[in-house]
Amino acid sequence: MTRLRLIVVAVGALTLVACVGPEDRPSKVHDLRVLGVRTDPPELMAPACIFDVSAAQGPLVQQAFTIWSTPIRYTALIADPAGNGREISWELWTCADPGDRTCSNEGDPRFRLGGGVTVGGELVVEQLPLGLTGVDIDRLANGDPSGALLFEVLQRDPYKGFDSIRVPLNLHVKAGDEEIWAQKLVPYSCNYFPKAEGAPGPTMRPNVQPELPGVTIDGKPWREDEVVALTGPGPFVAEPLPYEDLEENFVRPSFQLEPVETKESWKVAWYADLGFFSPEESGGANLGGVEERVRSEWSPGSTATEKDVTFWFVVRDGRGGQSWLTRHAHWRP
Amino acid sequence: MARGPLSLSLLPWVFVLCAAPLPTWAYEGAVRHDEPADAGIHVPVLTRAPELLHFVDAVYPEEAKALQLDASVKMAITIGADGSVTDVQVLEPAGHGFDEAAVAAVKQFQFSPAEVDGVPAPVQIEYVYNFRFTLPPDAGTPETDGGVAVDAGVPTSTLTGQLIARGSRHRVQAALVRCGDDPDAAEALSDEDGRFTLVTSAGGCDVKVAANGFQLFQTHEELPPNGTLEVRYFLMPEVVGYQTVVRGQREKKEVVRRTLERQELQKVPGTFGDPVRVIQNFPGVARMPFGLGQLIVRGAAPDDTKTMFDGVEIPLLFHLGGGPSVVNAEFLDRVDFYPGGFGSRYGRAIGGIVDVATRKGASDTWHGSVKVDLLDTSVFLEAPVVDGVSAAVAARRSYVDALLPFVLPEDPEGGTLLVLPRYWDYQVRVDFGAKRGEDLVPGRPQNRFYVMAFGSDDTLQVVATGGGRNRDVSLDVETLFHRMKGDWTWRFGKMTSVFAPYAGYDKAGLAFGEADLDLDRYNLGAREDFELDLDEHLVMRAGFDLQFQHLVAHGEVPVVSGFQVRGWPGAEPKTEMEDFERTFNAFDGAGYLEADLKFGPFSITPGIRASQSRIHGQYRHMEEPRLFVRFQPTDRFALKASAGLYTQPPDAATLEPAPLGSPFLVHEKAFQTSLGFEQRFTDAIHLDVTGYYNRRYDLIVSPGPIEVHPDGSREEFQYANEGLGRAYGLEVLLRHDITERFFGWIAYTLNRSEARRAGSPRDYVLTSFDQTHILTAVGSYRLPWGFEVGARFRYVTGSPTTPLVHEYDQYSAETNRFRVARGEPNSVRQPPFHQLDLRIDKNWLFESWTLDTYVDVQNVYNAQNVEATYTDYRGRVEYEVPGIPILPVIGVKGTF
Repeated sequence: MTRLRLIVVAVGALTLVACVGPEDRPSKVHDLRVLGVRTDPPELMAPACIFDVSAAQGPLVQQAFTIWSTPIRYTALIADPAGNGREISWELWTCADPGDRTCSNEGDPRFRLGGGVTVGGELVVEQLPLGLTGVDIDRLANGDPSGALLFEVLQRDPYKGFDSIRVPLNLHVKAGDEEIWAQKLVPYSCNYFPKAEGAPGPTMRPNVQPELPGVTIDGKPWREDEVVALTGPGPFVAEPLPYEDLEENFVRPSFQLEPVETKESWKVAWYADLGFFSPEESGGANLGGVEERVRSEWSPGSTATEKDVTFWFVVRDGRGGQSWLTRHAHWRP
Repeated sequence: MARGPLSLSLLPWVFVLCAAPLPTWAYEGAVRHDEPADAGIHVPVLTRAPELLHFVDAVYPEEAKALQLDASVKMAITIGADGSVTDVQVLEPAGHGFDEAAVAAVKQFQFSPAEVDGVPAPVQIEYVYNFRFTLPPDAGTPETDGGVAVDAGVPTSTLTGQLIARGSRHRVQAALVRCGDDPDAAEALSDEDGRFTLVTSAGGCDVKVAANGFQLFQTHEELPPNGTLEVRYFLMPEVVGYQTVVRGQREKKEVVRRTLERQELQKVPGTFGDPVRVIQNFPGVARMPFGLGQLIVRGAAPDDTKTMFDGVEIPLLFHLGGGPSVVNAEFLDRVDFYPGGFGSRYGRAIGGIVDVATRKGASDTWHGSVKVDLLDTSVFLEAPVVDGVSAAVAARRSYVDALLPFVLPEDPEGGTLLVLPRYWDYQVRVDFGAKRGEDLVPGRPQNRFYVMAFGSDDTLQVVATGGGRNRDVSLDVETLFHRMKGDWTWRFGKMTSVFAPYAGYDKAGLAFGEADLDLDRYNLGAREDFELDLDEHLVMRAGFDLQFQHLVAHGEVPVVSGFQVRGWPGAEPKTEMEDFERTFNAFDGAGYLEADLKFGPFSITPGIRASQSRIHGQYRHMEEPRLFVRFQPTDRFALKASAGLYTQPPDAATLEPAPLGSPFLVHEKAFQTSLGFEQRFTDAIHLDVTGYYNRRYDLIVSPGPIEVHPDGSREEFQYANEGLGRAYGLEVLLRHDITERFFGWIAYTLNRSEARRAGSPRDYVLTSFDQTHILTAVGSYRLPWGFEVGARFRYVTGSPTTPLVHEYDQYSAETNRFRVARGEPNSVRQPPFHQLDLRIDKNWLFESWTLDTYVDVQNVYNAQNVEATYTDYRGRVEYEVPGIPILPVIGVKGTF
């Protein structure tokens, strides 16, 4: 009953907050931002699970490490519309505690995976051996993966790696007096319900990156290489092309080790370097099981002047996968 | 009648009784013997007023006679249980020998015994003895028996009728009705129904009616020879709207018990007449933001303080989460508030106790009221049903749902937007007892019964569909409860027993999209409070308090991350829907034993409460020793102290296996201590200073531990008894009780409330409920012409908050949200809160009813108080959420 009453109070409080909202909005990209991070593959799933983590040299661990040592590709979408192509310094870190967004916990193992200077756009780090981070290469040659950061993450995880070991990748970008730490988690999972191919029952499969097939503006297709002319105050309706067939059914373990069947419900975050979107993000299913239509309206704002506008649409599948589309338009009042 | 050469006459003009506008004090000696002392729930009520059976003329003082002076002497008369006058104190002396003469006469009066709760009892009344100087008459007037003067040879006539209070229709008893100013004129006293019969000479009669609390009523009647004239006189109250009853002042066993009378409950500015919100103005209670009504008592969480309705716990205090309380103020008699250190008859709370007492329906005639304001309309009716049976009924229904569509803007999405909040509540009480005027039979037990039912229903329906909306939203929330209670009070000699069984049903429902969750709870319980008043040194109390709850939770909900599966940050997948049904049983049986030991100025009350529980299959046992000590060297000063253990059982649902609950949970506990003193300056003004230290432990906090089993399965428990808390401070209350025209108080609290989690390296930090200084001043004054003005001023230290320490953005690519970086928890405070509220009432008195209108203006000078803060989406800038701006609320109430 107390919780129900809180719902009513919360509705009132939100109403009050809505009355005094700040002008800055997530969809309004006007300074240095990290809009999304993807890793390819989005998930590394071992064929079977190891519940006794002390058996670090067992065959199952070795089998898992064969998968988990797969190098990944890291890509961050960095927007810096006011920077005019300025240099952005970056560093990529990983460490044992996902709660440590800056990899600065004293005494925790941490590893710098890369660094340098970039400009706004996509920052790519290829062939990142994240799963082998911290492993003694000489010992690994003898089949011993002990010392891997994965195990350090597992020890600090209150769930002890249940469902997946979530290894953090913390990107630090800095330009001028603007500074961002952006975290992406990489799930190292295992198949809790292994079975022969074709056998009945739920099957756990590694995640596939969600990719929007395209997007429309005011109902018209909007190609990547096209600069769409937009005129007037709007709003202009942005909508992805149908993608429902791409949303995966997937199986996850319950705490009682029972399979729970679930379906992805993608969410799209909408961004532009002029004006704003409403809603800022759409999609996903709520607690009542009702899915939201993925659609948003862009408005240039009352003080906007003629401009080339860049749009970004970042899609997330709710299990670690994400990707984005970039589009361009020329807007006139 | 006194006679002399100048034929001075004494006119006992105003006989004052009942409804005393002075404080309703009672004879100090009466307290021990006549108060049932049933530890807080029962308040003795005057059920039969004393009647003057034998009047004695005072001797007109020689000095006054020489100066031809008139005078009125106001006195407080203590009437013993046998009707004799045991003490007389002059309240308003007149000098010139009048005081001594009046006291000497009054000491010889004989009254019929007054009855408190149907039992003869000593009471104290106010009485005005009027001396009127008149010249000796030219001729003597024949006197008849009974003081009725009838002129020989003139036909007699009978004037009979009823005296009724103008505006309320209450019957005016013990009023003196006279025909003319002649000292030998016929006179009569009105009875309990306000009826009188006066036999006098036929012809013109200048009728004068004098009653305490009423203006002198005068009229002229032509009385028919040998006939009867029947009349109804409506007397004008001296102070409109004032009603109370004489009752015994309850002895305090607890260190702090603050009582609010109905008058105070309805007239404190800024509380909208809401009785629970009025309690927030007492010491020890923190201020809630946005005027919400939750009670944070001595730094304890709101759920740690229980609110009872005639001893039965109310599952829901406020309509719509923070709206009006479910308790209709008209139905109340008083509210007792224990901020801590309460007696052993109360339990299941580690904070405070609020005990709301209902009142018996009127026994003279039917009365009622209708109250209308912007939110709702409430109706209250009370009436005698048959002799010995009275009933009171109250009901309220909101119409916010009907008015909101006129206020809400058009759906910005172009679809359909409906927000339909609705609530109603009701209370019914039927009393059975001795018939009016029924004589008591010595040596036979006395019985009183009442049955009561009350309940409340809230629904909130939100529908947002169509238009440009990406997702249709439908939300249905309902909370409902019903309670039925019986109460049997039995008295025999020095024994008093109150047995109160009850039953109830609660419902909570939530439908959100495809999810549907319902909770049905069935309640059974009973209380027994027994008291044995052995002698002046020892009173024993014992009783039991049983409670059984059967909860059924059922519905269809999706698989929830964190409960059944480990979620991914920011994930909102489409999951399976699951049907479920869970049943929870919880029994808590408690017994208590308490004794009042009194030796001279010392009184010591040791007590123990022991409980045995079976909650969702788990057995728990608790013993809670408590001790109260009071040292009262004078009538006006007392020192007091208390120490005791208080516990609160876990909810049955929290004992679910992981991941929904934690079966190992035990009772939350608090060791409460206090020390203070009371000083009474006048009959109306008194000071209470109390220091306290409360240590809380085994508090239930979330999350609980996670256990990993060898097979790889996990148990993530929701809760653990790892919360620790401590609260200490000082409470000061300078209070002016309700008098004829004024009530008010100044409350100050110096408070510190801290908490930590056991096993955490972090030391105690301030809780969000900590408010160092809380100053509240409340006053209400009755002006002439039916006006009443009230004001409330509050100054409160700002609530602790955690500072924003943004150095750089922290972005989660999974959730697409930014982490807001903050400093030490609750290490800074919001700005202080200060606010002035005003209330102006104006009533118009009609013959049979009273119309009361009021304007309650919150935040008169529009202080921009900060009630909450929030940040921009990156956590860079903090924004303040202001409190309620100046807000006038108008209401109308009709009473008859």
